[in-house]
Amino acid sequence: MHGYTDNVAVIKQGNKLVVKAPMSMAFYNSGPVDIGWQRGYRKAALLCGSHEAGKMAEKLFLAQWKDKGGEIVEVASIDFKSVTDFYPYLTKALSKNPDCIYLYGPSEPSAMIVSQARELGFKGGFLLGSQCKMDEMAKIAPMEALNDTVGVCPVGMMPLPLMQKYNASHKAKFGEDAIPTSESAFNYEVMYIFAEAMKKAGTVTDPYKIRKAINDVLPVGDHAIRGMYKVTSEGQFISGYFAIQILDGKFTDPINIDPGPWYEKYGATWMPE
Amino acid sequence: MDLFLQQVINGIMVGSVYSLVALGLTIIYGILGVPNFAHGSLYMLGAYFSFLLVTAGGVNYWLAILISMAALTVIGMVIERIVFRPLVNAPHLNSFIAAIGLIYVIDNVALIVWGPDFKRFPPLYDQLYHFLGVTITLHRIIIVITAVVLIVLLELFIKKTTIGSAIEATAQDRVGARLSGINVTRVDMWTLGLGTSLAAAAGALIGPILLVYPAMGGAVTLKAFVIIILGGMGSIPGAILGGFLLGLIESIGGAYLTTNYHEVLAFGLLVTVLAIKPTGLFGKAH
Repeated sequence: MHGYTDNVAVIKQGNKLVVKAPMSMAFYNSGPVDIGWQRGYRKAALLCGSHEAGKMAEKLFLAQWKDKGGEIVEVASIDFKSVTDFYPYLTKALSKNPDCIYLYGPSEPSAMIVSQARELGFKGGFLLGSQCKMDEMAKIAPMEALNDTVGVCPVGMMPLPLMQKYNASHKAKFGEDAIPTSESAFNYEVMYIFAEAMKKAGTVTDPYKIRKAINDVLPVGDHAIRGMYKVTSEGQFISGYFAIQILDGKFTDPINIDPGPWYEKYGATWMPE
Repeated sequence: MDLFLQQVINGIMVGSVYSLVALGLTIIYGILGVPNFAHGSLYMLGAYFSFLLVTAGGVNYWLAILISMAALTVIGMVIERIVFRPLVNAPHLNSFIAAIGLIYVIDNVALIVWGPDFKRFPPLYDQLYHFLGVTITLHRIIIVITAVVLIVLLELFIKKTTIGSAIEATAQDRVGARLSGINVTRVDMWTLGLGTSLAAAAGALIGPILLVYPAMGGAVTLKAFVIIILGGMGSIPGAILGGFLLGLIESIGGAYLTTNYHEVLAFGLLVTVLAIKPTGLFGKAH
């Protein structure tokens, strides 16, 4: 059973048949957090959505940033369904002089927050949670405004040969503007993993045997577009992960971040109290 | 950056848009006695029409606003004719439900036609001005000025024209207006058209600094209702004052207390005013 989420709660329930392809939100956050820290940011303001995932992102970032020794100057929660203007939120956050702003919310409104923050004179950086898709944000906000943002690399830009092949056939089939998403890429690969695991286990009716066979079929050859190479005992698939930045008005090369050490340190189900 | 002054400016900008939306809603309520819950959906249509005219049609932004207002006037009149007029003599609840039904119809048609994506206007007036520690874009200044001009024009229209006088008379006393020869059914239609065109103007004005998407009306509908209840149902000065008041309370309250609770502040104000004056600031007891 594949649960598509970056929330570790689904594999904490103890159902031995559940697997999930997206890695934990905390791990996705760790890329922008580390890069932001290396850039010298110390004071962070948070503008996260008030939806459930937004609240989780807020909790994780607070823990991760404080863990580094960073300071949190403002925490504002935005109800994207009812907000009419981001200026009041930004005015307040910018009055605390943050070095960087952490965002977690739908890509397009997040892009508007970035644009409006620049209008109000914010010169710092943006650390983006995994819901903010940088390629979609680039359609809304000008690249100059998006300077100094760092977030999760959009799947279409990942330097993985199989992913690039998938990207090309996705574009051929659905048009140039159709951006392949993490959702489609992960689910595509998981479907093949399940099929191969069924072959390996020699059964289509015994889910326990199929689940057990998963590790033996990874990676699934030409279909391993995101390169899932391992599934943990809790049911977490481990795959490649890249962060990406926008500097000088351009996307930088993706930065490869090995999930190995992170998962060794925190485990598949880490969630701060 | 001066926090207080900047938040005052932010509040005035949002407040001017709230006022426009609430004005349309309040005159419709004043004449038809119907809370038009679909008002925000018509605001959304106004934003979409002007967006499409500017991007796909290459039309000048100001002309696009005028065309959207005209188109929405017609749509408002059609809605009065086919949705609300047949319900005039039905129990009041029927019009309420019809208005709620309209939200689903309009929002879903928008979803089918334009898809769920967020649209952004091309840059129009994004020059920045700095004064007294405050930053404002030209478009935001334009919004406030245009909203004020429209409010003044509405007031002149009601006070100086025959149609306006007919609307005012009908709002004061429907039976009396009919006795003095006013065709109140036609007044209903004009009023819905007029109110809807104000929503369209608000949507077209704020569209470029926000995003345009099918669900954008929901947030303003709720706020517009808070405003007209606060100001007194059917009261024009109440809607104007209420709009600016709500905008300012949201932004200033957010600055000194917490932005997380700006809606608590808005509704807290409503509850307080109603506890002291149950008919709203300018409302008259019936």
